[in-house]
Amino acid sequence: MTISHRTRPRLRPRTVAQLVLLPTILLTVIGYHGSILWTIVLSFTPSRMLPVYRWTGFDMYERLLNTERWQVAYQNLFIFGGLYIGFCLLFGLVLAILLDQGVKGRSILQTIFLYPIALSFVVTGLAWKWLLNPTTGLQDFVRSLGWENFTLDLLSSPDRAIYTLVIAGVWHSAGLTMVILFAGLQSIDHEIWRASRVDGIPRWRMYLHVVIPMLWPVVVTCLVLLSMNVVRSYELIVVLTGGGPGFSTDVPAKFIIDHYFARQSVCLASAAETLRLLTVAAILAISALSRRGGEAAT
Amino acid sequence: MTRVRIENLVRSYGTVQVLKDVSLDITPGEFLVLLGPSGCGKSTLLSAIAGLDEVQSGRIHFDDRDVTALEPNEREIGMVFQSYALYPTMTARANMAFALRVSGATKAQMEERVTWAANLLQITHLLDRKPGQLSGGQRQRVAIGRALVRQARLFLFDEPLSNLDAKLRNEMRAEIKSLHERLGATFIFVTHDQIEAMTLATRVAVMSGGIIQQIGTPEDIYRRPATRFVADFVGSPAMSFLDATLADQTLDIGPARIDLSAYAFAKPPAPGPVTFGIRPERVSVHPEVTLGTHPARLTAREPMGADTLLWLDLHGQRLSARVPPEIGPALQDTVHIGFDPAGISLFDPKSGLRL
Repeated sequence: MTISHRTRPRLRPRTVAQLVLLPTILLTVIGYHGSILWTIVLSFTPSRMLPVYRWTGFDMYERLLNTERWQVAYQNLFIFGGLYIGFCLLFGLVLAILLDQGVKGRSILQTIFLYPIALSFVVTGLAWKWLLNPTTGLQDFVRSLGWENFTLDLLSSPDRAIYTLVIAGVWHSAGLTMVILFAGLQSIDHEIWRASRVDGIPRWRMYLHVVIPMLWPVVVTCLVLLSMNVVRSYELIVVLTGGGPGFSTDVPAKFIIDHYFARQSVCLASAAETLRLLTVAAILAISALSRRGGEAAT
Repeated sequence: MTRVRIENLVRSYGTVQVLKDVSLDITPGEFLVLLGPSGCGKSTLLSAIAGLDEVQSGRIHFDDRDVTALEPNEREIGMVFQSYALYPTMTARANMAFALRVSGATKAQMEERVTWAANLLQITHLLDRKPGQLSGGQRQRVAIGRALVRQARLFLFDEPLSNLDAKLRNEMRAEIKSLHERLGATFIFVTHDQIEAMTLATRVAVMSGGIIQQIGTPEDIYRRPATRFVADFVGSPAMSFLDATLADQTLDIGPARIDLSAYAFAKPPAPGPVTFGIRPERVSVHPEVTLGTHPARLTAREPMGADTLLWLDLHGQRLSARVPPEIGPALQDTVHIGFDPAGISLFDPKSGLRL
């Protein structure tokens, strides 16, 4: 070390660190933030297949908001997102509490519930597609058991197909929520539980008034993770329903990719992408605020 | 005020016996301290009394009621934990009132009880804060308040002062003592700190290895330790132990002969090897030969402020003496030491029992 210091011009450690980080910083700024900016710029142009730089103001947004397919896709984001996050948290919490109560075979159950997260959304989508396919899946199986009139036809109904996405998504992610919440439950001082027994407080009241409020920061973490899954949800939809029947299960991500690469409507896709970005920013702002609120409470 | 009677309590985790046939009779209004090193079973015994820990065999009676199978909340106890165990999502007031709220008390009742306890502990101004906004000492007060609110007749303390700094610990110790005097309830207090035991207790139970080694007043425990373990554990600086040989009314430590005519033997003595124990403050140190002294070598001096601890070598065996600070520096390497007959304890070297 001392030798190299003498023979080479000396760089301060801070400078070295900055030099090392420079490629990453450039890549992020140009590749990531640059692309975001470019997308926003394109959303104000009438670009079709290739970028055209002519200002058209909010025309594209107007057209987008009047497109029925976008309305359905954006609405689906909230139907799918709300149900997916809600049920993931609900099942995750219930399972975590059961594990915390010392159910037998805890590690096996934990593995079983955590397993789906190891699968990608593509595999999850395929598996559920087969399960829900009327001629090969559950319906056929139950009919073969003797219930000839059993119908499980979620995938082909435009009103209900969106719920198949929720089922597959919750199956996939509830285990992760469970593990995170379970870790939170385990970190709670066991003397608090002892104190509650001396005070004669029923367990459910402890969970309701003490333990779950204590877990609030952990719940927010789960919310953020699950929200990210919702916003970027694409593979699951493509594989499981393909956005159909019709475009009843379309979501913004699928709408955007279709318009960029299949329908050669860069301007519309960019406008949609910008709206999606705004949605994400809004979610992050809300979660940051609620996390601060949670910290103030504890 | 509750009399607590514990009969032949056994608690084991797997093959490890944590409580080995413990029996204890605590009189109403007593302040009993369970004292012992970590792992001696004192906290397990307290948990068993609280009902937080099941026992394999034995019975626990509160007055004439057998509570062995009762849940903790059915035992009319208040308990204070080492980590305070406050509910962090609730204000101090809600923490104290939670048990009453759950049991269906009216608002007025809750208000009255909480106000009473808060006044007693001088925490009225803290009631609307959450535990996170309180200091360690304040949290401890709220935790005690939570125990008081429930009108318990027996209070259990599980090392409640060990998370506080030294100054606060002294303050809280004095407060717990005066609380005991004002409430008149039975207190059981677990600690590994002998100063807490000596200052607080009306009786101390010294535990080790899952059994009660000795139970008695703090003075008893200090002056007439029943076993070598108790003698060694209680007292700081610790008692010195020397190998000696007992002959009729005298004791030989090497060539030094000590008169034992004033010693109260627990049972008629049998000549042979014994362990001679002497507390440092019962060893007198003189520069010159006087009547009944033995020559010893001075090996080290440890000034402790109020007094000085001298380390001595008596015929190859080490012992310590506690002397006024002005004596220490003037001494030569060879000194003459005497033993106060009232401060001598003799133990069987095999069983460790007091002779």
